[in-house]
Amino acid sequence: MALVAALVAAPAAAAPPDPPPAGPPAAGPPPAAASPVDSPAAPGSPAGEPPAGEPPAITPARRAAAIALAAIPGLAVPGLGARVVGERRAARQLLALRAIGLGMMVVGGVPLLVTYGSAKLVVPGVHLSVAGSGLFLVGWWADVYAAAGGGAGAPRRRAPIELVADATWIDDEFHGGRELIGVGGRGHRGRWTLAGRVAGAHDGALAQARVDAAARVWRPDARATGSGVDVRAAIDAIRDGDDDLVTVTGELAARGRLHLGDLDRALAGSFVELDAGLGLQAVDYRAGDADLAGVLISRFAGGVFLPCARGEVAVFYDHRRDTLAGGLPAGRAAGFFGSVGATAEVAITPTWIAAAAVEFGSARLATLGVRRGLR
Amino acid sequence: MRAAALALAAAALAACARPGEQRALDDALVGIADDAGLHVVITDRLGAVRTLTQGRLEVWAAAPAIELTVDVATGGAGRWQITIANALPDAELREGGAPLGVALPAPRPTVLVRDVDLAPGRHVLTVGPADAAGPMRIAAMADIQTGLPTVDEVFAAIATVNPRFVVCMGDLTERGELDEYALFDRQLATLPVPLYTTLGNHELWAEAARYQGRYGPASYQFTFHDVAFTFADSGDAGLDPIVEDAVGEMLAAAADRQSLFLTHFPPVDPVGIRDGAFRSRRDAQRLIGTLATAGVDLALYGHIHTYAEFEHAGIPAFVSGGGGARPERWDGIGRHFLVIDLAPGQPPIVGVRRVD
Repeated sequence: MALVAALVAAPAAAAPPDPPPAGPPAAGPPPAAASPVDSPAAPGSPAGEPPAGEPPAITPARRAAAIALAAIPGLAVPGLGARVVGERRAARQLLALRAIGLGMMVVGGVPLLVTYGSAKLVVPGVHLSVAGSGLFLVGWWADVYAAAGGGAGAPRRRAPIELVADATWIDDEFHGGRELIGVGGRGHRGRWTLAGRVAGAHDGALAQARVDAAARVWRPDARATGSGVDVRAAIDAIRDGDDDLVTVTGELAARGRLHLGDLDRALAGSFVELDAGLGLQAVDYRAGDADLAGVLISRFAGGVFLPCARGEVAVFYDHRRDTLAGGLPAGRAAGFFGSVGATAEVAITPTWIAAAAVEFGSARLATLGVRRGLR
Repeated sequence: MRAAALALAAAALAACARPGEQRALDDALVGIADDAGLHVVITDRLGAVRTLTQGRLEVWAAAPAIELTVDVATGGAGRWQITIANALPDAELREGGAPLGVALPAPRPTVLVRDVDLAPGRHVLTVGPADAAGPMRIAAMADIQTGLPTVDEVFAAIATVNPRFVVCMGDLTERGELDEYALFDRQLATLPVPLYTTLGNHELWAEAARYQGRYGPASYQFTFHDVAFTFADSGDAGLDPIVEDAVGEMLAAAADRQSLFLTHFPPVDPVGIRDGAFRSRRDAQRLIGTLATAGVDLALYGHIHTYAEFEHAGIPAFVSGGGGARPERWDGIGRHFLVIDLAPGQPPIVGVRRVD
């Protein structure tokens, strides 16, 4: 504890005063990564101090300590890693982010616990809990990221039109392995996005079609992958011949992404994303009447942009259990949790993008795909 | 390194993808015991052999009528005290259609005790009442959990509606502790009729064998008065493929008679956005399709601590989680149970009774 206190109290090789926020994310040059070793003072700056706006110089030992502190006690102490590397403003921003997240978890979760899942409180309660968990956990992870010196990543700007081809492997305990081969496309114009995808199994037993439409209501450039808020709608239809089921789901949600570089330079290249909304699902069984059931859409993700604006990698939690993945068999909490997974997209060339995703729920999904950007 | 970690995580997730598999396999071994010169098999696993020691055989019945095949070795021949717990009050122990043994005093109406002389060889014993047809009334309940110390009040209320027996959709206990099971058994003294149940997720807080050793299998079917009662183990918020296949076969076999399906988790929450249901809605929908195909007449669930009446695939369905567990607030129901009147050729009539 004394060591932690000393690390936090001692300035990180003359930590700079709080820098201003990095400003809106741009697809331009990424912020410079912190040097892993001590560097000489910049010309014109006082000895031992980096110029304003530059990251402080950190010794490898201090960097390692910061990462370790951010990763373990940092779960409970927001911004600990950033503070140890002298990024005090980033530390305060992370404290605020995680405090907001914790507050949302408490405000949303406690009434659900107290009322034992009252139907009247489900929508706000789950949305607040999941979104709050996202802010809390991504804030934790972003502290590790800042302690590690951040990255050189920047948001990628998508092509106006992208064509997609992908293959999804699905494994579940009932069907074993199944595959879906999909093609689709996505177009952006101003604030608007329209996307569609059809996919089918080679034996025709499983088929999926999906149409997505979105309007960017904050920072209205639908091609930008940095901060922004979309209002989105989708229709998703799945025909599963193995189960004699047809489901059609309508979705309406708001999806927001915050490039944490907007909060502080030290967090540039990392982001948090939240998706919240409602849906309605119609299902036609092999026998009997069709049913309608509500769907709660609640998801969070955290990730990093790749260097040179070449893409992004993210991990996510999706509270939905009506998708092909279903929910995790989570022991005593079975029937409560949704799925977890990761996504990645990497621009191999300016027009060719490789994409991959894995998702773990009741079923396990892995997707590999390629996108072709058209100018 | 990262790839290895991912592969390890994927393997770990895949390994726990079937948390109910071992339980489903263990179900197949329920109702079989071998000791003290006796080999006992309960047909269709409709019960649990609780005690088998020299001169004493105690069985918990998981159905109104059960059959025991008892192979007596030379060393096992002689006088036996056979106790059938959780029996209908008018049930009789028979062999070859004739009453067997001498009745001994029993601690409660649902316990049948007989002093029997078993000769070496095979004995096929049956336990059941004389009636086998006609209308009947049953009660249904679930989710006792922390309400265990006062569940006798629920049982007493159930007794007032004179059901033939009670069916329960699980969560008898809060943590599956042995003293909870013992308390549950003591509380049953208030109930003058037997209670047939499956397990809930709270029974899985401890080894499921505790449940299976006391109350029999988690997934099973019995038929009484030409009504099929099919119980399924959904304690992990889903059916293991072994259970799902077995349920499909049992339901198909009952397609030409009145059929009730009972499990702990509702496949789909009637309040869909809450999803207090199966962990995979697609798995749930496949099960509902199976229920519809088999012509199930009524589906009964627990888990959600409220009362809900709804339909899926046109099948009348009820959630009744009012056995005493912490209740859902603001639903205006509290502790309750269902009263179900069954008559040949008629749809089940379901009512709800509040306890408080």
